[in-house]
Amino acid sequence: MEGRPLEGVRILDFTHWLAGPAATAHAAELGAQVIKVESIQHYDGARARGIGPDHHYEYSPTYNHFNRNKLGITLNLQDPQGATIARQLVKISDVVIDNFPAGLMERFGLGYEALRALNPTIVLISMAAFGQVGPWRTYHSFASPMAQFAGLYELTGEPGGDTCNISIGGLDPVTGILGGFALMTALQYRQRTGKGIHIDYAQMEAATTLTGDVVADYSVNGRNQTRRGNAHPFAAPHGAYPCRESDTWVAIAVFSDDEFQGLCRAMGREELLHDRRFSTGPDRWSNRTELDALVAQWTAQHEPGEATVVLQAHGVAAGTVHSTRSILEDPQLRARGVFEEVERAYVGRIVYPVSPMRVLHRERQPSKPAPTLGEHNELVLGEVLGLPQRVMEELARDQVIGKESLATEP
Amino acid sequence: MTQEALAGARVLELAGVEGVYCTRLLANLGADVLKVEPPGGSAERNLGPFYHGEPHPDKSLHFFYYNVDKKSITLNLETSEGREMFRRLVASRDILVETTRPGYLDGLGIGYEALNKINPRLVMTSITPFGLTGPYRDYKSTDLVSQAMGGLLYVMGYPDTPPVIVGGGDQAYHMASVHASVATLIALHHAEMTGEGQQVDVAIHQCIPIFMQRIMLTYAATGKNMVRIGMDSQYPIYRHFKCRDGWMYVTLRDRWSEFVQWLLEEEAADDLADPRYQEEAYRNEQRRHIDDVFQRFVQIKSMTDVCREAQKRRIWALPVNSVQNIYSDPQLVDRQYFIPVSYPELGDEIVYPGVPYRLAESPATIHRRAPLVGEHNREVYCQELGLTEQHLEALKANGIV
Repeated sequence: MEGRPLEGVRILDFTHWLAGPAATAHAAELGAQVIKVESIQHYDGARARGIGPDHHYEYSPTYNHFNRNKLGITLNLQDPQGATIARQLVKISDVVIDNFPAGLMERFGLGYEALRALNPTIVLISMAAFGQVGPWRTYHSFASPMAQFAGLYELTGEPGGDTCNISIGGLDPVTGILGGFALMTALQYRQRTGKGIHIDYAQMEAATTLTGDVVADYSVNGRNQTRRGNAHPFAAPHGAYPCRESDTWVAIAVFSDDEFQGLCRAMGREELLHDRRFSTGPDRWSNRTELDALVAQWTAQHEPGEATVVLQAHGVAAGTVHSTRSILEDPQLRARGVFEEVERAYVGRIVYPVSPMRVLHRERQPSKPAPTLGEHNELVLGEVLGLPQRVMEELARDQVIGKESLATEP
Repeated sequence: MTQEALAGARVLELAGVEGVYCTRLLANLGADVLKVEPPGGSAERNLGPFYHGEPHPDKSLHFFYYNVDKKSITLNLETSEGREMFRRLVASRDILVETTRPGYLDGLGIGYEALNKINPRLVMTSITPFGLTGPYRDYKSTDLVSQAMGGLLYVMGYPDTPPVIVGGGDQAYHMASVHASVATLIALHHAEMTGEGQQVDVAIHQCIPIFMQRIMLTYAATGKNMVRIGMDSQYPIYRHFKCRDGWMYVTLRDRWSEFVQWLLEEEAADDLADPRYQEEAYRNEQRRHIDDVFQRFVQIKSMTDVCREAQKRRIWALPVNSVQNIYSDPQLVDRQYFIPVSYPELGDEIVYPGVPYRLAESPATIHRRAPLVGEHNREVYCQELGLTEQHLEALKANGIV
């Protein structure tokens, strides 16, 4: 098989920021033709995080990551000519996707009814933060407010202490990729029924599915769970233990008696096998403070990688607490080709993490860089849509299309 | 007649905690998911919290949550007759989602190569801690270890406390399951187009750097290695603030001028209108002062007022929820998001977060509680595979079912 799984699928992508572009990233990597629509009046907000001087909107790491393998065009949807071209693109697309607050696509004349009149089997994925119905439907949000909304902040941190800001490992990719799941589900539906479909996907709801058993615990048992640090009700030891160098750690999780025996042997502390404080899971849990101290004594003499190898050889789940710097050196991730260097205009060669799915026995094709603003106007509007050169020039003159941003912010 | 979006897709699940969220997503949208558990039931059933705190394989709330809308049979794959039954089930399925350790199914003669011969269209999604290849392939992991190895744990917590796990559930497993669900449907699409199945290899370890993309890419671009910052942030107004009646989370992002305008209108801008603040770098440097000014501004206001005024200016503000108030959240209540699921055996109803999708013309809801141990044995073995009652009894007697 030569082709990639989604070759032949065309996605008209009005998403911006992070979650939306994450939703179409997998499809783009696996062969779909994703046409990303921005405008010279309003570029994708993720570009505003750029750190370069000239054309600052071409330097954003987030933008350049999630938009790899996509085609980029500009189109001013508030201009009637731009809206007309968008409708022409709808006619030749399989999927339309957006993450605007409810109502905006209708304002551009691109609501589901309008799309269906143009293309009866079109699939529309609306991935607004709060969905298409409800009192907050027009509200804006971003990942971190939603993560805390779902209780994730409340549930992360030391018991009795403050929560911590988990936004630095933002939740957008999760709710975003669930948008990709909606997209693939809709294509399945169309394939099975021959009909188009509109999916109203609310990211806030998706966030709450990540705390489901905590929610069920409250609903059934009335228990309002809160932070418990690294403690796990079915495991001890369970946590991050300090290693030899300052601020280096190894994570260790021991659930079963076998694993505990492995841990004692790995540490060269066989006498603990007969210590009644630690004989069973519940014993270890009750005496976890003492146990943690014993484990920390041992880990403090080792490097995280060294401790990992010894513990794993004894059947104990353990691993280096990687910092961003050390993760790039991780032998497993390197062996699996997780980090890919891509050459892109303005920023040069940068390493990006690729999709975590591997389709076995097939060569992974190298990524194409994220498009610069309006990079594929000629390809998409000229070649695919067939607009004559003269029309393209007029559109550029009327600032319906272009390659240089007019905006200082999105 | 409406049809569920994934109706007709037949899925076999041989998954533990790492992959059950993936198959739940498929089941919620109408796929027919058959869970294969070892005789006596899966280890997931021993995980709490439990219904009224009573540990029992048919009372695990954890199991309940992740297995709604699935059917379940028991089957011992370590017997040759068990494997024969498994092959027969695979022959008529589109998808197998499995989380067994790499090489385990190959060793039993039911790895991808063997199953592909029985069913060339099969999509087999393997979710494993480190993937099916590479030097760590045989390493053991847990959610904690995956968060650590993927780079998430290191940045969670305070500078003076150890790295701390992101709580509320097995978030590394959720992350992997979400990726796996998309990958599975992409591979299914391909199988339907070409008649060719494939194995999809999802490494939990590898899903975390995507979760971390912003700091990873900032590191790549600037060499700055992110450390733990507690409630601090790199940016101003990107954290919790205490209002009169509770906490709000406010994210300013690029709305600086609107933000200052708002404070000026209410004569609470302090020195923030100073032109120096036009520079983002200066704002980031002064973030604690900016946060203090805003904290003083909102502490006498109600959460509702702050939320409305902020949203009007496209400044993103939301109340901070504990699990308790998620249930009474006006938006979720209005969307009828929580779904009561009936448990006749317990004489009770349990309310779950629902399905985050609304599909015009196609229902998306939770239809059925999680299955009891071996609940669908008779339906699957007798009705689907055509075994006689006596044969099923014999399988039970021999510990195969």
